[in-house]
Amino acid sequence: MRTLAAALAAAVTVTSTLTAATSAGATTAAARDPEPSPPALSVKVEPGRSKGTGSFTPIAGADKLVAPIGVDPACPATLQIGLRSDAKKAAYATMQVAVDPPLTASRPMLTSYLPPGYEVRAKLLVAVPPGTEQGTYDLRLSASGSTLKVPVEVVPVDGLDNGGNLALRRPVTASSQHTNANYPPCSIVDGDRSSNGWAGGNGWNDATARAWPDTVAIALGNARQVSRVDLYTLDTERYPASRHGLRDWDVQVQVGGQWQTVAQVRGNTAGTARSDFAPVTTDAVRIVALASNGANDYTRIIEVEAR
Amino acid sequence: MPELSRRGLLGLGGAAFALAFTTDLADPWTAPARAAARIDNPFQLGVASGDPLSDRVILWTRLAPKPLEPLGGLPFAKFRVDWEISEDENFTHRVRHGSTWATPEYGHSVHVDAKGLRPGREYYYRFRTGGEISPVGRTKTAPAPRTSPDALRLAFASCASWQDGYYTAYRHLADERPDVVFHLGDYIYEYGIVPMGGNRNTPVPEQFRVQCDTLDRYRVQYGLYKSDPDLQAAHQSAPWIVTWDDHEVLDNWAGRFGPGGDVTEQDYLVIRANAFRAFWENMPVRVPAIEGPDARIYRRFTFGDLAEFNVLDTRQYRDDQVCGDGQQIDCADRLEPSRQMLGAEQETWLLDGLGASRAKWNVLAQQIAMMQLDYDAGPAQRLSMDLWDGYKAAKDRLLTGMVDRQVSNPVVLTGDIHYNLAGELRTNFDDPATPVVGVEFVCTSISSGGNGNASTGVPPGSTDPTNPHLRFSSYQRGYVSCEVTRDQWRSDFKIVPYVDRPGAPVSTRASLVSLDGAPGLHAL
Repeated sequence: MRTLAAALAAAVTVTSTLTAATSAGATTAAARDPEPSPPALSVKVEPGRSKGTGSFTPIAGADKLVAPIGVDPACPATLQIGLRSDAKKAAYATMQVAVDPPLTASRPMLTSYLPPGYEVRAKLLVAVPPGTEQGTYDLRLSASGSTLKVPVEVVPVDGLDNGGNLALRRPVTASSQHTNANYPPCSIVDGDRSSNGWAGGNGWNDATARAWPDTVAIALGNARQVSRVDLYTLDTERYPASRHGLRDWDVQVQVGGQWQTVAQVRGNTAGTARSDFAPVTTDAVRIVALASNGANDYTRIIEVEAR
Repeated sequence: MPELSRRGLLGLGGAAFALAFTTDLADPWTAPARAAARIDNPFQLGVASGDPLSDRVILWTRLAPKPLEPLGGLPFAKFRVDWEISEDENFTHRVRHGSTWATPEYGHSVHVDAKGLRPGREYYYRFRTGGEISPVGRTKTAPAPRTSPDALRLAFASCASWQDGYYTAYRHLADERPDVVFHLGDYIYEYGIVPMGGNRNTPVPEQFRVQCDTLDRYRVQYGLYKSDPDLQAAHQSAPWIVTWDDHEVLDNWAGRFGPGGDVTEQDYLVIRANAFRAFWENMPVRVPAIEGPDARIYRRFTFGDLAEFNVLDTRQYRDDQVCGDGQQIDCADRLEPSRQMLGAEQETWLLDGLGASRAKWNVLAQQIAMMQLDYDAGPAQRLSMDLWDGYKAAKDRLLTGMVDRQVSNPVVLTGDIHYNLAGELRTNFDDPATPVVGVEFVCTSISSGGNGNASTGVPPGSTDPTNPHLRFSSYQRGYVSCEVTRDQWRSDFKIVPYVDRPGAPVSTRASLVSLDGAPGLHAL
């Protein structure tokens, strides 16, 4: 119970003629909750058939993990890890997680209830401390005596296969950041366009409800030619972009130290919007957010890509 | 706590030792864990006792030299833990002792049911492992079943979001050394915690950013909460009787209905199984170890013929909230007769128990507000779908059921809404002429919601114009302290002026009494 208390506080202020209440606001919360604050759950379960062998098998969501050097620690490399049960009965099972130093993993183990035949998956964050040498490191997932090794390729940002997305893993500067949950600005260049895991580090929510504009800028590292920007705003079945997404924004590029508007988006209700413009050589791209589709009027951006 | 005497403890001799754990295929650590015989500082989560009966009480601890790690910094191995319980703080009159295992499958928690105790008296207990001795806890057994105790002192509390503030209210509760403490849920919050720990302005490690979902994640959340010295003091001062509300699992979970969206029912039930298990590991409860997404925790405690407490679970068996949850006007579905709050089995258990009770005060220790709460100052009736108002037929069955059974002095203790409230329960809240069935005391939060606001609320004994059965309210942090005698139930609403820094003083915002045989509230 959370939202109710604030409402009750307000209601009793209003309904009671007996109080000496002088202040209209009954709650102490300075910042409005960045509604929606959906659960940032990373657990996913897949039912299946148990082989009945009694063993538990480690799972990784990818064959390898690419971890860039020198990125914002708020947005480490992420990997789905998990465990499949071939036991006869449901059990609480543990998988050990270890990674070669100096890399660090967000959890030393994964422990979960696991019905027979099921897979359980959760998110693992792998951090690359400053000074880490480029190269391949091992992530080891161990359960029931079997170990799954996942190579972690530590590369500089310039060495990333960015698929043409010049913004990928570049430094991000935002006008503000809501601190009620995990909304780091760097998450808009982490290569994940999905809205799943909102409030759990997969998107940026500014801190100023109903105050505009909000800005978020991406430094491209060098002068680059850009002619297209794609923006992904919060959009899930439960939190559709038409209510929780960004509505109006300007796309700007920095040329000679000056911001120039190269495209405008107005009245957006979709989860993603593409802006094309005449090619321009620039060292930074900026989104100037002007309005959202209701829901407390915050800026909520999942990803920004520049080409 | 007094200085501990290490002389004479247990007298068993020999250091505690650890054994390699190799039998459970569910766990991957095939290499034998070579645990050191000595664990540095294993009792950083304190000690606790709970679920007191007239001859026994649960003694609890959890070994955790590194409380913010999933297994408390211990290897996947079991550790021997000695325990003893004494009539005096110096352990010169030891009455029971023994030895048990702290096992990794249960997060190295220890639940000892210390039996053979005398009724209605104080005891002191402590643990030992690896040459280290725990802090001393005070506990108290319930009075004997066929006696007529003169008085009972209890406190109840709920809703202690760690990042919303300090647990000063728990510290003041500890200072009262009541006979028993009821905790009505939201002992933890499942949310991720921001880097600087919110109102506590205390750095919190990276693994706390994400919300609780796996068992290892719930375990570190309990580790953080239970590291708090004020919370530990409250556990050490008295036996607790606890139940859960929503945030022990997920916000506003209801029966088999989780948060929806990306979270499937299967995901949710696995998360619930993880949450339930972590609850069991960290609470001094006398219920079987929880092994999945279903667990009965509703149970009953009798204190002679003075009071009987029905500890309820209003989350696990309820139907889903209707009309989209939240506050709604004219939601017809809330009236649907078949909808359950307690589930048929618990409801029958409750009404049968109330009907058979010989106690003077019959208490429901539960989560959510039972009195009607209309949130609209105007003629419309705006009710919360998460509270008993959203389950009108179930509420009517319970209140009418108590009238039919002529239950003596019903008292409902409630948490959940971060608000101090006292109200009179009626079978028809819309008709102030209907007789009062019983009374409800709602405790505010320990910390959730931050400092609160002293300038709002209904003064004690007054009447809220929209909710005439509501006789007191305040939006401040604290707990409720009760003195129960054969003549009256007195509730003192204890409040602290702030929680965003430590050391707040305590004061009594209101004192209300209900008299034996005359349901209703009177301000002192």
